[in-house]
Amino acid sequence: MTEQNKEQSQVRVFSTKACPYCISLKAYLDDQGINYEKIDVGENQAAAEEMIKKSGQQGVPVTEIDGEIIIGFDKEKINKALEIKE
Amino acid sequence: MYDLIIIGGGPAAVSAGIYAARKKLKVLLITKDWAGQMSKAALIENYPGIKEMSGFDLMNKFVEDLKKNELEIKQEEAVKEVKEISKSELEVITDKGSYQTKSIIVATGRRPKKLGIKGEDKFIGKGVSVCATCDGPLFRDKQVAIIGGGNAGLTTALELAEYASKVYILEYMSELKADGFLQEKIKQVSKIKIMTNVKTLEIKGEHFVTGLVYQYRNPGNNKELVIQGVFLATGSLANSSFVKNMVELNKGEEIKIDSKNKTSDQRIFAAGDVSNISHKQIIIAAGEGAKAALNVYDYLKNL
Repeated sequence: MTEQNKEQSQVRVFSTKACPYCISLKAYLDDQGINYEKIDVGENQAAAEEMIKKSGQQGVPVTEIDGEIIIGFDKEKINKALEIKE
Repeated sequence: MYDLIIIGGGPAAVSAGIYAARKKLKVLLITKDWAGQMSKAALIENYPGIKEMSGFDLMNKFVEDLKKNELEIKQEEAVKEVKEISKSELEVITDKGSYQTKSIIVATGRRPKKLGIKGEDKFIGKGVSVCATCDGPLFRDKQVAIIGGGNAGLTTALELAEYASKVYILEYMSELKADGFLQEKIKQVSKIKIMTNVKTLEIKGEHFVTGLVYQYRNPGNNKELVIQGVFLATGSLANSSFVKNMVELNKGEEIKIDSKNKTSDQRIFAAGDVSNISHKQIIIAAGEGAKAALNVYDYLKNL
């Protein structure tokens, strides 16, 4: 995948304010220079319902990358979906 | 070869790292993450100097301070086993490599205990949670049950009361074990209901949790609470299995130590919640970590 394609990946992170794995996940994406939409499901009830429906999970974090749902801070899956090589 | 390998990433491990580095020992600290019990605590109000802070923020400060010191840190590495190479040499084997050392401090803390009832595993992430700080906001206007009436359970209840419409605390014993201070706080929140002498039997649901089956211990019929969330606060287990062939454990699988943090193997020390010290508290774990590092220093000096 080229740099250009990588930039086109649409990344959305569903999280809550104080969850350690959410904070680590967002810090990891920041470190990798990935742009993403931050969605606080504690504040945004509609987004919470969307997340639960899409993921089948009532727990955070959940990441959506071009429609693919990744549950938890699963670095391997995130790296694969975003073609990140550590 | 290292003088000391510290295993763990909580308050005991961090303060051991700081004290050992300042003694100029060659130190390696290995941890899977910094997201143990402490970083999941919603609010810490009993640690001097910080007024009040979330466990996550305080842990970050601990790690920042640790990294100011001269020591090696391997993150995202899980220790699998500790072996003896020779009388003066131990080997720490991880999922990524192995390291030789003269001494070890085990400071791997504890993990939440499971209830062991039907439905628990099936509904993890689907209404069953061990982290109210993480998942609590997803239970806005829902009814939730907390299993366990100790400090963790009551703190969890107060946190969830901010979101949920009704919060039940289910305690197996006839009285709550939590500090009086917390019990008084709980009494002022009308949406929290305390149920004692209760045995939980099953978590029910289809895709998500819809109910919890329980029974009063003085024989009674099964009853069901209509709830959408179950938060486990039933205590914890020591993370000691990777050293169980090297050191003596007690019945609760805690590593037995003496007043100098020494285990049954003179090269291996332990500190904090993984050990058999009484009272599992951040400030005590931090103190024990520092003490263990100083005791390791004395041990190495006399080799």
